[in-house]
Amino acid sequence: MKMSKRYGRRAFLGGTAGAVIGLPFLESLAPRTALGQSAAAPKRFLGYWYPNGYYMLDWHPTGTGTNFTFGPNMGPGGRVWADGLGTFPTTEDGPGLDSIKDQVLLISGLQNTHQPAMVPGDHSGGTGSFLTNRSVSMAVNAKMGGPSIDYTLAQAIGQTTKRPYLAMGGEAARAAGVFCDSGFSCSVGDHISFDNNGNPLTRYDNPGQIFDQLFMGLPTGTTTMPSAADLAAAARRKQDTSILDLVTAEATSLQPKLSRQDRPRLDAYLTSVREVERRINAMQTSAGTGPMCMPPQRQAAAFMLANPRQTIDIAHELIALAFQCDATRVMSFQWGNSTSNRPHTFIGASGGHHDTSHHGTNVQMINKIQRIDYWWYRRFTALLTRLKGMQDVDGRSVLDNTLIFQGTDVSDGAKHNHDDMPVVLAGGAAGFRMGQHILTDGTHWFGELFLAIAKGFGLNTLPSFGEYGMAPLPGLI
Amino acid sequence: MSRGVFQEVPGSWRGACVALALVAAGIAACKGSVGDAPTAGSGTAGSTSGAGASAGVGVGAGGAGVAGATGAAGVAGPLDVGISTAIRLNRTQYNNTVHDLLGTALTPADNFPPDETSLGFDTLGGTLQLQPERQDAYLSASATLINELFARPVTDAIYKRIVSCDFATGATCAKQILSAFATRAWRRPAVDAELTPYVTLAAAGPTPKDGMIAALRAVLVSANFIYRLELDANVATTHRLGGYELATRLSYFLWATMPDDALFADAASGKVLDDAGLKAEIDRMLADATHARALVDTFGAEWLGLGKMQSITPDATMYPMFNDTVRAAMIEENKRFVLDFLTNGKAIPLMLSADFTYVNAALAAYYGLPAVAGTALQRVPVAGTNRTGGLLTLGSTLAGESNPNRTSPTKRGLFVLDRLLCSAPPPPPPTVNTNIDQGSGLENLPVRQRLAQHQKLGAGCQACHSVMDSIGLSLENFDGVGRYRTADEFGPIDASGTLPTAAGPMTFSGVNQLAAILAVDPRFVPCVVQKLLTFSIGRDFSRDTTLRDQLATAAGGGAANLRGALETVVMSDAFRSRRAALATEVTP
Repeated sequence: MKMSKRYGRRAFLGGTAGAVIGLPFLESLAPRTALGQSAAAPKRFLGYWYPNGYYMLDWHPTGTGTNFTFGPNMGPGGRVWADGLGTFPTTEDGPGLDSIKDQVLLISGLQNTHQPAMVPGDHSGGTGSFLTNRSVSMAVNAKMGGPSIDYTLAQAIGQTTKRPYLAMGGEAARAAGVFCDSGFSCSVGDHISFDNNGNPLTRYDNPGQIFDQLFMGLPTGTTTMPSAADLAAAARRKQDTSILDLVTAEATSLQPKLSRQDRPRLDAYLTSVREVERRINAMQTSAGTGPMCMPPQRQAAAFMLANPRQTIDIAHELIALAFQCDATRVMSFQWGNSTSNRPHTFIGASGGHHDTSHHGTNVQMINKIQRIDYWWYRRFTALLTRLKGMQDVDGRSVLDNTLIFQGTDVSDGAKHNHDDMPVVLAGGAAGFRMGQHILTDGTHWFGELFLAIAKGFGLNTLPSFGEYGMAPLPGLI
Repeated sequence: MSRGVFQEVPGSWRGACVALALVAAGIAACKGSVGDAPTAGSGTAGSTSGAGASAGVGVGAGGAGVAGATGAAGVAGPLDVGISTAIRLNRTQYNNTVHDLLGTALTPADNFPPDETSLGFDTLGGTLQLQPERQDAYLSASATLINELFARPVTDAIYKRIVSCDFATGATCAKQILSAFATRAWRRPAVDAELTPYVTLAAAGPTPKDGMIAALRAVLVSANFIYRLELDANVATTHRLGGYELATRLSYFLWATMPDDALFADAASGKVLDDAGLKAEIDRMLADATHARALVDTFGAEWLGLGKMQSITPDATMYPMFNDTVRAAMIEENKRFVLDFLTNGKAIPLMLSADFTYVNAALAAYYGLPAVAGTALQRVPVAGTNRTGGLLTLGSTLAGESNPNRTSPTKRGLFVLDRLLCSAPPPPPPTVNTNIDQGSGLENLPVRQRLAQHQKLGAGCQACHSVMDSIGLSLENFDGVGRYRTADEFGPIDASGTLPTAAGPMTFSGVNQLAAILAVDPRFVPCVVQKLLTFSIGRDFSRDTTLRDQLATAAGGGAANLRGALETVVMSDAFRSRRAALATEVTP
């Protein structure tokens, strides 16, 4: 759907809404667009990472195909806790993935790459490889051997929105002087999204910055005449472009004066300048926000480690609204830092998340990690439910037009294994057959799934993905 | 190989870490750890160099004989200066630089994406990235900064310094303004050919003012500003930096900002290139207390992991005395303490047995030291008190390396091994229960017994923990928020420990005896040198053990002071030279 900014979607659609009198206002929009105003909805992708693995005995579904039952951590709400850790607050309980089973696809038995053999650092290794299916290097200036799947998808489907992609974190990045797991550079050990050169994408972990990246200056699509602000913005864009043209030429002429080791720095500079310029141009021609867009209030306060509930609700709402507003079509979300030690005292799980994951078969520690996993799946289900309740421009739900790939860095947090990785897919964007559990035979890799996802998003000529994605994972369609 | 009191361990518990016994040389290997399970190590543990006796340090050798690669073992000669990479300004440096350049009080980098870090530092050229999001932030910041400049009255001194003529009169004035501004911003003279596009841009605006704003903004978006570029057209032989390049390295090391006018003058005259001139600049810059404080805000804070102090959350019911006033005072105490050692001439090992610290009224009361007045920290003697452990008894070390509800001898031990000895052990293996608190069945035991129980869980655990925990347990007279105690809830404190040494186990007790053992550990001063090299030159020096050890020796070995070590690093070939990577060398 391509609309001139002068005749924005909302104004246009509002003006013809009489044809569907009787429907509530918002719902009236979708049938109108579905009647043939080129209302193909965009496809979106979300890569969602959970720290510290799971207590896998609670994760494993029973049964395969469409006839399966969810493991207790993601299954029905109202779980009974006879663990001596106190009442699980009803406000933190809620439905599990069973409530949205037809939109969910579980895959078990996949393996993923990690750090080099024989060195510690499973968390860093599993975090950097999460969306890349590539080994993570121990080097100080490490980078990945290639892009993450979200970046690859963004190159194809993210080029017409305000942001081609957005990498989010739900916990403030580690400050200088605080190390990442086993001495890995935090660049690879604490990021999940990487560009084609294997460098980490900027990860935003502040709600205000995320808001600005997604929504600030986003054309509303309702303006019929350029306002003074629009004119000032246009002048600013012109000035910005002239500056970027100058520094591009300058940096190009600098290259021969530099040493071999510095040329990648200038390459990165030139690449980023060109991308900023491209985004400025994309903003000028942007179709504006989707007709359903209800931008949120800007949250200036930082995410609070001590308040996981507030943090995750804000983050999930930003994700949902970014998709609904078509501010970006590709996101990644790292719910915590690698080896996150976020406390969950409010659900009876005192102590750090990572510390607790190494329960050493201690029953009470296991109970705590069970509670943390269970609680988080309630919030994840709430996100899916929210997306399912958002109507998209084609009359379907935003969830129908989204694919969420959700997993973690290690399988069992107490074992650090990289086989039998827990994978949850949700949403209909890739055309997969949802509502099933696929038990793979242990010979398949994340990369094969990513290749299948890429094809589901129309990237049919991509030959492979990551180190082991040589053929699409079978059984999905 | 037998150099340390306790030896370094290999960076793996899965691989070669199977020999578990403490051999004569110290810990040969260790297989993970139990107990408090700090989740991170610096990864700087590496093999110990056999060097230390090599001659020919070549420090401060006036520029001669810097070419060549590392000589064969035992052969004296210049060492490879290694491959340093162009460093992007980090957020601190960006804010400081635009402050000095534009006189602004704005700190636009606060909103930039976080800087990438490795080895605990945010100054590593190969690690700091430049993504589109950051570039976009530079573009926005340039508008904010230059628009602020043009919002000043034309009579304003800062405005007049930059806008030194009436640019509406044409290209001659525009070039004058841009030449002067770019030369300062880029930390080297901007040449005519480079300036031409800027003058053209200035002339192309809708108005002369718009054009000048655009051109000045472009100076700040230029790669010449964003990066500290050392232009050498791929010269693969080791060569001295130019005056401006050296001045820039020096200024960002000591002051975390661009060179000031005096340093620029010495760069222009070449004075900074000779030994005496460079030494004079170090003296002058460190004597400037306001600017030199950057050393403890950046290097010191990152070396000692001071960032942790911002985020610790001591249990309020258990530690009601701890509050944000104390937190802030502890952070400042740490900085003032390190700053003191930059000027007091005392040997680095005395950082573990200092006879002074810095407190204000709140912190003195908190520590139980004689009362002082006021909120400003002041230097107080501590001889005869219980806080004579220097870095080891700073509140920031003790509280920063504790758990929310108890001390963590393991974390404190790791702090010493990692930050002071560059010998971090690997993290614990995943299958080990690292919990010794609620639910472990051990929660009703003193922490010493809990740790001992856990060491019994696996033979491999003991190798690392016997060292880490012994160090940490000797600090048990200080609770989880750094207050002195003689007893905890389980009874009188036992601060004794036994450390493996080449001569067999050595038994000791308390922080002062620990300090005495650490003070003669031959890894201490080289470790400080390694941290200084890493931070200031911006690359990984953990494998340049010969270089590190030679510089430590040149600085005076165990008698070296912090200021001397810093000066030795600056005067070294590694700091004053560079070379291009060979095509066969992997680009970092």
